[in-house]
Amino acid sequence: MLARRAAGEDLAAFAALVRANEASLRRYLRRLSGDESDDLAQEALLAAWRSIGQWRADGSFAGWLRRIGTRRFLDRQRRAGPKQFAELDPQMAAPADAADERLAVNQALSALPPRERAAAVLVYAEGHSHQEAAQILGLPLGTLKSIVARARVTLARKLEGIER
Amino acid sequence: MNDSELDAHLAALLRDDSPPAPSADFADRIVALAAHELAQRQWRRRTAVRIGRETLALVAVVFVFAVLARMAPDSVGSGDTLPLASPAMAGLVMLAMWSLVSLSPARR
Repeated sequence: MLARRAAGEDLAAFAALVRANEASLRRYLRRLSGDESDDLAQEALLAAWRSIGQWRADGSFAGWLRRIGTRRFLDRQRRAGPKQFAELDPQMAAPADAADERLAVNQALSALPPRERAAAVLVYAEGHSHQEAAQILGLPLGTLKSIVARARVTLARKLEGIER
Repeated sequence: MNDSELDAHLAALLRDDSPPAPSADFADRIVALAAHELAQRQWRRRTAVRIGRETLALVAVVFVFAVLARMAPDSVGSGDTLPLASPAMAGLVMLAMWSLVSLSPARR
């Protein structure tokens, strides 16, 4: 297994893991943090390299990377202050005439509190189950479900505003 | 719209239509940084081993000098055999420690 080899300081194995996971990690972090995503992905991958011996094979390696990336993202948000939310990545926004709903929901997503945003991205944008999302975020299942429910209410309100 | 319909609708709206493509440049940069960290880690480990070894040798040398300083002149043997507690034996110990430190593979 690549992760086990990488834990033995096999750089080629780590390089293979990076190449297999970097795009999906950057996509996930782009939904969370917009322009900071590549910096966060770099931090997460290097943190993974430093502590790869701690990875337990009971979950996916990609999930573990997301967990590290999410922690870094939340740390940054905490340092930046509670009111500062990421800008919406303009590449993600579809043209207004094509999908007002999509644009509005993506804007609402980027304005969610960081933990709600992470939960919503994992469950809605990435299609993870609640169980998987709870594992990635290191939360009890019930807590994750209530965070997702709060995010759903906010996003639904935004949708209702569009439809009116 | 019930909860599951709303969930499906949100999932459809939030799905990323333009995910970032795999980037060889990005991956290469991460691997280069990881290689740099690995080299530093290995250098720190080698340095720690060397410092440990040299400290041990220094302690042994100081100990031998302390023993030599306390040794009475008449306790030095005068026969054909080399007494265990003698300056010559202490010199041999020091020579062995020097060999261990200077000729060990970890130093190269």
